[in-house]
Amino acid sequence: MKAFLSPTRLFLLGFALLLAANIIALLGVATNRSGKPEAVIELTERELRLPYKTNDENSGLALELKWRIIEVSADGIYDYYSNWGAPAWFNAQKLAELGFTIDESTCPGANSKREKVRLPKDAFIVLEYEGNAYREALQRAEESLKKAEAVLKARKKDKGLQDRFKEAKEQLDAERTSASRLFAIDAGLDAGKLRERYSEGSKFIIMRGIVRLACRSGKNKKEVVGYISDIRVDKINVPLRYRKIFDVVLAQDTSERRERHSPRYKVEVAYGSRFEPWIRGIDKLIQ
Amino acid sequence: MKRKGVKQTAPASKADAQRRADQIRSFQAELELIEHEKIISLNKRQRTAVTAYHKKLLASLSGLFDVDISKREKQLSLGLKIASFLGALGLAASVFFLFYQFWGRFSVGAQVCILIASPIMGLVATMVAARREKTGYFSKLFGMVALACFVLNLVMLGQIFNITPSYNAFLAWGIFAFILAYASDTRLLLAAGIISLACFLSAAAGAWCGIYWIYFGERPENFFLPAIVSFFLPYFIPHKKFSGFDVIFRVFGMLLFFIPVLILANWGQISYLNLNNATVEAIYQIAGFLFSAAAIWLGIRKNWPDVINTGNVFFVLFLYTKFYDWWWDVMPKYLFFLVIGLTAVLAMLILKRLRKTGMDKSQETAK
Repeated sequence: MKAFLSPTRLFLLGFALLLAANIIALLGVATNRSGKPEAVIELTERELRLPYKTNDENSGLALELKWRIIEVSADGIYDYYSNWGAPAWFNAQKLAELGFTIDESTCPGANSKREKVRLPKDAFIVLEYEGNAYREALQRAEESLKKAEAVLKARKKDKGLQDRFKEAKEQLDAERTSASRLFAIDAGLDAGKLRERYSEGSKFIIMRGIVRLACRSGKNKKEVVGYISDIRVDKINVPLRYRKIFDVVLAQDTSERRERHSPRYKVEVAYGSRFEPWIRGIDKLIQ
Repeated sequence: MKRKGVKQTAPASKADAQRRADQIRSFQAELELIEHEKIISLNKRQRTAVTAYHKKLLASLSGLFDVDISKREKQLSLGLKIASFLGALGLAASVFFLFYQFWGRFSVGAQVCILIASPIMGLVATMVAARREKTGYFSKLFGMVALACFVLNLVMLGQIFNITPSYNAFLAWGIFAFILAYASDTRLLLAAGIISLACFLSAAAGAWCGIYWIYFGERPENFFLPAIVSFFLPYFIPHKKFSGFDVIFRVFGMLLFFIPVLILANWGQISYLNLNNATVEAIYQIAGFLFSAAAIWLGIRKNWPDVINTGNVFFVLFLYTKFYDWWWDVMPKYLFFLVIGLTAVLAMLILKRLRKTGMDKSQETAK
């Protein structure tokens, strides 16, 4: 024991550990990037945003993946869809498929003394680019504007209705020009099966994500719904060779915080066998 | 004969050597006082023999472990320890921010080379310092920096190549911290190693139970296994050669056990136990009292002051959180704090009585 713990041996062991850890990490990267990519997709600034706020202490740059979900439509009213609601497709059946136990005790009454904090699980999430989900969001925004316009016509001087009309117009405009067209549309435990179902690699990305079960108050009782807590790799590092385009774009932004823009660049992103992304090319878009 | 005496009492670690040097200093002071009071008086031959023995022993301890022989040296050593700790924190933070400040200006190849080279350089510096300097202050400082560089190494590789976060990183950091701790005899690194490995084991346990690993902290029971391992490890594998490692293992084992118990005693919803939340809380409250009392008992029995003190702190915490639950809302505040004060007085009386009993027993034994 004493001889085994001699400083010389320990330092040698330390060197071996440092090398082994780095080799394992880099082998993982090489495995991910070798062979045919799992998906190659072209995204724009709408889906891959520059950081909301730049930091003087950090010279690195990573693009943030913006993805959205479509919730169950409440009377066709449009709301800007972010990614923190419960997707319409994420029901009890899907949660059971993902390994959550669903029974009568899953969503007990408000005064239940046995309710536990539910923990999230790993799952593969399918993100669809510029597909049916995006078209539905666009359609709902158009309908919302039509409704706001019709109501305003009847009571033209109503300040609240004027604001609502203005807001609906801005939302439709954002939906057409700057909002992300990447929507989470499905989840599963088997990436292979998901890829069979969504075979188009330039339209569907499969990513590792975190899903959570929650209980939502329904009309008569609590109902089980699923949420996507997070996508595990939602920041993509920009290597130095692509940095020039972003430096130009960053220089255009006068304020410290990023404003909404129509896209100024497009990025070719590849996803490898371990569902980890990397940038394969960047082009500046003419506005 | 004298040489044999020195050899027989040769301490295993620097802490033991320092204790022996302190003991000699106390003995010399006490002998001086006793002689001044004319209780005993050593003759010239005896005095020379004792002085020569102590001189030789201190020289040997100083040569082997660089212990502090005088009070002034001890004070300076404390200053060095504090400076070494602050220096390690400062340098680690500096490395971290330095890299963030400039890493965007390097190509991927250069980034990877710098990231791999930095912990290796830290390890080389630790190795060189450990060989050149007996006190170990610089090796401890460089050891901390090497660990910070290794953490940065794996985190930044993850960011550069968009790697999915994995709890295996905690295993690598934990093993590396342990290696550095044992190589440079550094308690702070040992504590970092225990925490990293506890995080790894808890995350692995969480992942085996089907939850996403990063939420391992939301099931505090995951920490029980690392806590038990940490607490009992020095019992089965003694660490006499290393300064204070036994204490660190035991204290961190207790922290990893009692903090989750304290959380679960107040928040049953995050337990694995499929019982009524109030029942879960009651179970952990009872467990908290029983185990902290058991820790105090074990500490007294085994003469482990660290276990007694940690057990005391948690016993008091369990007691006061219970008082808060029972009386904070129903009692006027002056009465609540009066009860707290009175329980402290009661504890003092009990401890005083225990102390007196202990003293009586030792006097009887002396007779």
